[in-house]
Order: sequence, then structure tokens, then C-alpha cells
Amino acid sequence: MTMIRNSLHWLARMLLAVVFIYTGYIKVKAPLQFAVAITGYQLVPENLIWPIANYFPWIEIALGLALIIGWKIRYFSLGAVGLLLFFTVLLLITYFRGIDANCGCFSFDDPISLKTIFRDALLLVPAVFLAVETHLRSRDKTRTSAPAADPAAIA
Amino acid sequence: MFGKMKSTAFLTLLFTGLAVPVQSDETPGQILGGSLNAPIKLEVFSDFECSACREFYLRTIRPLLQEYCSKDKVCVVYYEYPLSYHKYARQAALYSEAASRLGQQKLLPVLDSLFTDQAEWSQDGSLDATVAKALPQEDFQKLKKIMQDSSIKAAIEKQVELGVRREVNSTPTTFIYYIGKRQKVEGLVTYLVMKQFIDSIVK
Repeated sequence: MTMIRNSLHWLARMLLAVVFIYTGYIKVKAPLQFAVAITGYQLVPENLIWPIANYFPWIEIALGLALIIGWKIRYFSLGAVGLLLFFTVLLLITYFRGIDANCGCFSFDDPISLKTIFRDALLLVPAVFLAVETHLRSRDKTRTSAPAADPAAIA
Repeated sequence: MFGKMKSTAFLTLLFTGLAVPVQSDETPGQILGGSLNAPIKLEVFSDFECSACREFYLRTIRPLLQEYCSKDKVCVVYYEYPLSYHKYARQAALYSEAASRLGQQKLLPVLDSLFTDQAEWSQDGSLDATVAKALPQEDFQKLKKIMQDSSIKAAIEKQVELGVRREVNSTPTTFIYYIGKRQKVEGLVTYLVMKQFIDSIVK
């Protein structure tokens, strides 16, 4: 049981890490193209588009790297859930507003559709699993490492 | 310490430095402003009948010419890329290419006029009237004469071929060259975004 749980934990971590590093990387390589994609969403004030396009991809990469090395995994897995939720809501809003925008998620030739929304939402499965699993793991750890009750005090 | 420096350098190289120093190539388009030695070069593949190209030219390129090309921080080169499903785009490109032979001073008013009055001439093909408004009568006659030259058509073909080679799939497509890198951008970049990008490279 523990082996299956460990394997799933590892799989979810690596999958999310690869996704975040890849999606960050394509944006870092083409920040202006990413800026065009952000403009297409018609949600961000124009003066914020370039700073977001320039810096946001580094957050994705940092998140991916943290997931790979397993640093502060409890917090970064929550970060992954938050980010994926944010993307999914953003895509839903844009789709239902009827705006013909480019997702800019995995490539820059990827118009927003139910397929892109489903794909992003699907990534929430490993992210939520990882967040819950690491939470439970750290809770179990806290329980098992709690100091034993002082027998003297009981007596 | 050294390990940390090495990993930082590795990451920097991985994410920003993978682009091999790039020089833009051969076919000369029409230089709209700035010199070819400017630190940033924009090569714009555009179609006169496309509405995003109109927006890009009037709202982004025009202010760039005024603000940055005049100070030689940016060079803008225009490439004809008329799309086959636009009825009058290739004809409009002929006027523009011919105007470039009259010099930059004559070319810009022609481009301004073609893009500004796009809605009119794209309905009825009244390109003569549109371009005639932009130039003195004498220059317009010269332009009409130049348009007969077969080299005009050939120059447009060459630019289209270059676009095909560079996998231009839509208009406007802009290739931006700066500090040894190249970015391909499909679609409309607003002036403010372009300005912030340029300011982050050349102060």
C-alpha cells in the first residue's frame, strides 16, 4: 500500500514538474508571443501585460523545480493546485465570454476550447492528489514523531 | 559557492541563452525607420488588406517610428506578405513596393494611406485614388511608371518566398532581433507592450 502511495506521489510530482517547467520554458523563450496571448484574454490592464509576460513564466519554472527536488513540497503542491485552478477559471471565463483567444498554455497555436479547458482541469487531479497526500504524510509524521507521554506524569 | 554559481549559469544558459546568435537574412524589405545597425530590428510581414495589420501599423509601428526609430534605437523593416484570399492585397503591395523606390519619405505616406483607407479600397479596389491622395501628382505619375517594372513583382515574390521559408502562417508576423536573439511573434503586439519590451533592452 505504502509503495503504491509512494509511486503515485512520485508520478504526480514529476508529471506536474515537467508540465510547469515546459510551459514556463516556452514562455521564457517567447515573452512577446506570450504577451500577445495575454492580450487576447482581454482581462489584464495593458500596462501589466508585459511585466506578467516577462516574470510569470519564471514562477512556473520555479514551481516545477521545487516539485522536482521536493523542497517544501507541502506548500508547492498547494501552489500547483492554486495555479491550475486559476488557469482553469481564466479559460472558462474567456470561453464563456465568447472571446476568440489563444490559450498560450502548451503552445501559442492553441485556441481556447472545451478541449483545452478539460486538459488544464485534468491536471488538477495529480495536483490535488499531491497536495492531499503530502498533507496527510506530514500529519502522520507529526503524530509518529510526537514525544511519548511522560510515564512519571501519568503515575 | 562555485557550485551555486555554476548552477545559476547553467539555468541562465538553459532558459535564455539557448538562442544561437542570429542575424536576419538576405532579402531586403522596405526600411521604414532607423538604421540596420540599431540594437533592435523588427521585420514585419504584413498584408494591406488584413485588419490586424492595419491596427499593428497605425497603433504600434507608427508610434515606434516616431519614438524609437528617430533615435536609432529600433529599425523597422516592412515585408510584403499579401495573403491569397485577399482580393486586392497583392495589388496594394505593388503600390507600396513601387513607393519604396521613391524613397522612405514617399513610402510612409503611401503606407499610411493604404492602411488608413483600408475599409474603402478593400471594397471596390480603388487603390489609385487612395495612393494618389498620399503623393503629389508628379510623384504619383512616377510611381505608376515604376509599377510597370517587372522587378517590382519579382521583389514582392522574393519577400513572400522569404516569409514562406520562415514559416509565416498569419499576418502580421514580426521577427524581432536583439542582443543576438530572435523572437517570432504572430499577431498584434500593442504599442505599450512593445515599448516596455524595448525599454527593457535599450534604455
